[in-house]
Amino acid sequence: MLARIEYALRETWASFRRNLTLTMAAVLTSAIALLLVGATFLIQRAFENLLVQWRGDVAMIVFVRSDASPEQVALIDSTLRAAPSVIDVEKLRYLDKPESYAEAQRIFAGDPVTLSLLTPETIPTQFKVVPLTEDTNLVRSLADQYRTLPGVEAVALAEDEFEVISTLSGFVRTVTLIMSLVLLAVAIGLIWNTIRTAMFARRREIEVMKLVGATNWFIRVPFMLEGLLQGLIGGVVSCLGVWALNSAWTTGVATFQPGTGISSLVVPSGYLSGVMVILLALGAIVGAIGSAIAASRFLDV
Amino acid sequence: MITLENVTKVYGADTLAVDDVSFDVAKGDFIFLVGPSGSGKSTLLRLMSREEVATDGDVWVAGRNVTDMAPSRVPYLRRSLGNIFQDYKLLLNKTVFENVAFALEVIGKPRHVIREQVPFVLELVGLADKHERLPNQLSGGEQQRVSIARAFVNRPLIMLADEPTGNLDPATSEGIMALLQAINETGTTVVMATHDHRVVNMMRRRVIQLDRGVVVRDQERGVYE
Ligand SMILES: Nc1ncnc2c1ncn2[C@@H]1O[C@H](COP(=O)(O)OP(=O)(O)OP(=O)(O)O)[C@@H](O)[C@H]1O
Ligand SMILES: [Mg+2]
Repeated sequence: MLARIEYALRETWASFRRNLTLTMAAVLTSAIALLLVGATFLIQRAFENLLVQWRGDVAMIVFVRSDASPEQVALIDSTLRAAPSVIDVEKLRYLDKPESYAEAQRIFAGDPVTLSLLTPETIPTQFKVVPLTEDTNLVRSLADQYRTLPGVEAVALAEDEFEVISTLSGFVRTVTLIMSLVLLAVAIGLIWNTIRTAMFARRREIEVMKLVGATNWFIRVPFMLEGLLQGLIGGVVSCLGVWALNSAWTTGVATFQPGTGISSLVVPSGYLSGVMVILLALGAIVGAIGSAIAASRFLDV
Repeated sequence: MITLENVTKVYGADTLAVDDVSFDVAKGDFIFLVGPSGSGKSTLLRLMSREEVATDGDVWVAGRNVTDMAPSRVPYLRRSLGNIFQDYKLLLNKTVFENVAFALEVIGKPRHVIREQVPFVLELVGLADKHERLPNQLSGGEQQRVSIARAFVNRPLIMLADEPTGNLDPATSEGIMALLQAINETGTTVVMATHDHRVVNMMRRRVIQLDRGVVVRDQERGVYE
């Protein structure tokens, strides 16, 4: 067993060095493809920070002044419930101060200035309103009416804020996803080609191996390891890239004007590590697929 | 050790290479396959080592029916066979020692077995002093000895030789035949396809003659023609 492992590793390494140019191309393409996959994840997660407050068909948010009295809050609540034909009262939700504060921490994740101004005491609370109607004019006129209630600080409409971002995020997701898939396919193709070339270069050895009774698996494993390694190295490179990009972005965003949604577009570091693990795994899978196809095809002939 | 029962091999749509051939080779036998070019000698050897599959009939090798053998079992069949060829099929970037060691290494034999067996078999074929040579630093006869060492190092039950003296002069061929004879005397069955009538006439072993895929002669202690 030890002899077999040693053999596989030695052959993998030797082959790696022999086909350096092809190997580099395969590794680099995988890295770029994976970088794009990573960027897709990060961009989506960043957009989610902006979209979180509109989650669940929320179309209107009524912000309540932080110094509003309980009676004023109760009045707003009963006013909202007074229009059951327009507002889904089942889904009407009131976020108290701790809940609103928790949400704000995501929205202003990349904006420490704004965040430092907010405290659980000074934060406005909010009603999340899900309308029953599709009629945006009706919702808008309701919003105008709620703005005049005592204790209301502001009324925000999804139409004004959410939809642009949502469309933008959807568009970005589609584009990056398609590009990642195409590049991943190209990466698989390049790894396949590298392994095929490596096997072709060693066809005499393979012929002798078959002749003396080496199993197909024994012949295959070093080549498959080689492909796996290429994908994995691509994964490592893409992780470095994703990390560098994210650091640059996060620093850049912090210098932006506070309060322009841009500063919400950051991701927590835990999420970043998760993405990196996914990229490494994906790299290994890409390498395994590419080399498995090459190895099984070539051995049949 | 080897049994062919009504074996037919058709390549592609209509190249009839072997036509309804049947014969038995007992354990420890030494047989020659002779016949003109294209008569099917190499095809018979390839059917025995399962590089080709019979179109019809059964091929039994070392107690196994290789005609309907699962592909995953073929490597284990090959481990009980030793193959040698006219063109040696040595790996040119490996030394004599490495070429022979390779055959053990790729079937997962541990290093101490390799360290023991390879020098032993190289001594047997008369190359004890040439371990570190590369194949192109050897004569044709020496290269064939390396390939015999590689075929024999795993102690096969059967040696399949396809024109092993095809590229060698008479004196060198005699040396190779002496080696195959010695291997045969250890109990290994030898099947050798050849055009070399000198060798056949010298050895006086069983001769199976083919013509266009058909056995036209099967003679104990036979001569070439
Ligand atoms: N892989 C193949 N594909 C198609 N036809 C083949 C193949 N191998 C051999 N043949 C044909 O089968 C017939 C027998 O060939 P084979 O190689 O067995 O003859 P042989 O007796 O070994 O000849 P030689 O003495 O020249 O080596 C020939 O007509 C040959 O053209
Ligand atoms: Mg032939």
